[in-house]
Amino acid sequence: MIENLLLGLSAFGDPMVWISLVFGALAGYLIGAIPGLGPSLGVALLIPFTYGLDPVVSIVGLVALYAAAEYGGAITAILINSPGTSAAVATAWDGYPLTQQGRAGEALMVSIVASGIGIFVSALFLLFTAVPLSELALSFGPGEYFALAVVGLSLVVGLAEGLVVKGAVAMGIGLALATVGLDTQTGVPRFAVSTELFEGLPLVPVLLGLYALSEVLFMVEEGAAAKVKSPPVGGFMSWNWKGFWPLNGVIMRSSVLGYVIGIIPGAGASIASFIAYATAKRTSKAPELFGKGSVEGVAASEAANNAAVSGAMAPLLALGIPGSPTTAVMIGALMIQGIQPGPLLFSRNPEIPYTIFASLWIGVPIMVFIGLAGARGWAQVANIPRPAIAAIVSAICLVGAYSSEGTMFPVFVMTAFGILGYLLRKVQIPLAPVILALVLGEVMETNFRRALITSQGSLDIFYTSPVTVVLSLMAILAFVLPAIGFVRRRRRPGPAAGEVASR
Amino acid sequence: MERLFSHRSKEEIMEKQPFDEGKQRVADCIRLPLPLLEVAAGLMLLATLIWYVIDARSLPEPFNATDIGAGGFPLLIATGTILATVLMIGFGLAGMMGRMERDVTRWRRPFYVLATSLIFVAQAAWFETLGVYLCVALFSAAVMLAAGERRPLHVLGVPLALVAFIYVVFAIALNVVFP
Repeated sequence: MIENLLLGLSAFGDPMVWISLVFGALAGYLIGAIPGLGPSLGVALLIPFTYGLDPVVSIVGLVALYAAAEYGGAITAILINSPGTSAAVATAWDGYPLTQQGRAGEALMVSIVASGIGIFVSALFLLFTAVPLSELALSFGPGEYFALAVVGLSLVVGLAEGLVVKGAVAMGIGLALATVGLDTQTGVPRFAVSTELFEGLPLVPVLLGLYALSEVLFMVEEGAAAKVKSPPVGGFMSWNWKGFWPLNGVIMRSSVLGYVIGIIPGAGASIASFIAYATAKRTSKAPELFGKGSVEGVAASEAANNAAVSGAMAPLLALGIPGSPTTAVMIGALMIQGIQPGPLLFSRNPEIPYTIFASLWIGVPIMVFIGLAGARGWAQVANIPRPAIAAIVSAICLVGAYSSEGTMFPVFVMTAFGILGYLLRKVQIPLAPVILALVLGEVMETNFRRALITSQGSLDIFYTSPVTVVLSLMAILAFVLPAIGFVRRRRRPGPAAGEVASR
Repeated sequence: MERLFSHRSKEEIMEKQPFDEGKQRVADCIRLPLPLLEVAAGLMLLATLIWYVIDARSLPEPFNATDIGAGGFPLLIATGTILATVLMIGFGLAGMMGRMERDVTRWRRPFYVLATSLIFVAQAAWFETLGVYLCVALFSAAVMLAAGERRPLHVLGVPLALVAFIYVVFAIALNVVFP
């Protein structure tokens, strides 16, 4: 492990890796600070810039963007009560009241440092869990892999916002799209209306369309919104670092919690920050301050949502199963570079996972520096006119889709999926299960069929191994528990019908 | 139909006022009951899934008796998705009959959203004909106009800056060959 860790650290001997890290962090802050744009969209937009780059250089940039975007959401949450990402909602509960009390600088300082510690601590956990997990996964057969993919998908569906039924519909759409192209076992073309589809749907244009282009249509819906005036950010210099020590406990606890929740597919940074916030409130000596301007609340939420970034990386790197939309997008970026995440990644391309670990640690001081140095500037990012952002995103989508293959076909795919993504979101069908199913579809089918061939056509293989039994139970629970919750909610007298934003 | 489309409130009429620098501008808004959308989307999805099933059934049988063949897995997916879609339609119908919560979706500035969708289609169709730089410049400006930007300096400046950025990053730094 030490040898591989040194290999990961040695990647930073290349100046391009440093440039990629800084550029990724800057882009992440930018994306995170703009309400409505999240890390998934940011990573998808960055992919076109990585086509010609070395895999290590590109993955460092993508990871830096992912981590920085999770933090960037806190800036606007604290300063203008407008969380840049859903994971920063809990940060706004206390961050904005602190701003109203004239303590914006203190809130920003605490959030940046807590985020940095959250990433650092969780990256240590990642190192010590991903490696053993990948070694365990080497013993998995096709039955276990199929069950693992089913668990990943069902948790994402079960934890998706809204009805489980819509999550299941989204999953079905994604899996159906994954079957387009030549059948990997027999070479028969399936659902391929043109020869370009023989290799399946190109992943990057689909991601750009669903996440980025559909967002442009939502920006058009909003129109040229009113300018948001950021309050003056003061208190950086006057802030007493000694005031940070009492927060150590809550930050460490939230970091561990964030990492563990981040590992669970579908849970992600938002749930991590809510649970960490609730735990911090329960264990705090001053719970009455929560919601009125508690630095503990800001620290808990930010440490947890950033720690969840490393948590989401664990199943991606060790098992090849993305647990969040952003890691699903990252799989697309890795595949473009010819890298297949999973247990074999640690033996075939050890430089990739170990550089990711190293970049999470090395990136912390850089992210904290960029965050602190540019806090006043990042607050202004939310003021960038929406029409300009819409034009930038649509142009990068267009150019990015074309340059992915150098043909027009990906451009048409991206356009079609952009409009489809908008319509799906309007009907409140979540996009995350579509993407995850699209990425996992081939793994599921291949392993399902291999398992059947291995067992001579018997389905015993799916319930005789203890691993598959446990995983199958988890998958069933992921569907059943939300359904029970839905039925119980229906029995209670609910609120009157509301108007939904459909985003 | 009147129930489907909203009457315009005073605020909305005010929101239709011409855009001026820094002021809010939200044009007309269509409100549609979510259950109606669920039923409509469900039916369209169901039709697509039926086509999917027919196509999957026409795929050749497996050579290996223990394999399920090229069409086996798609048929499994289709079965599950049809079930989920029928449930979604059922919930939608229950909502339309008032037996469930009836959320309403807002479709703000529908004309501009439709226009932007057409801009996307047009930029894909004319990308090769116009070339990347002209295409980006023209359609970025069009997207900005559709998004409500009316300041000439912004409408001209942002697309030009974008063209310069794409030239420097993609054409020079990343060596991408554009039409």
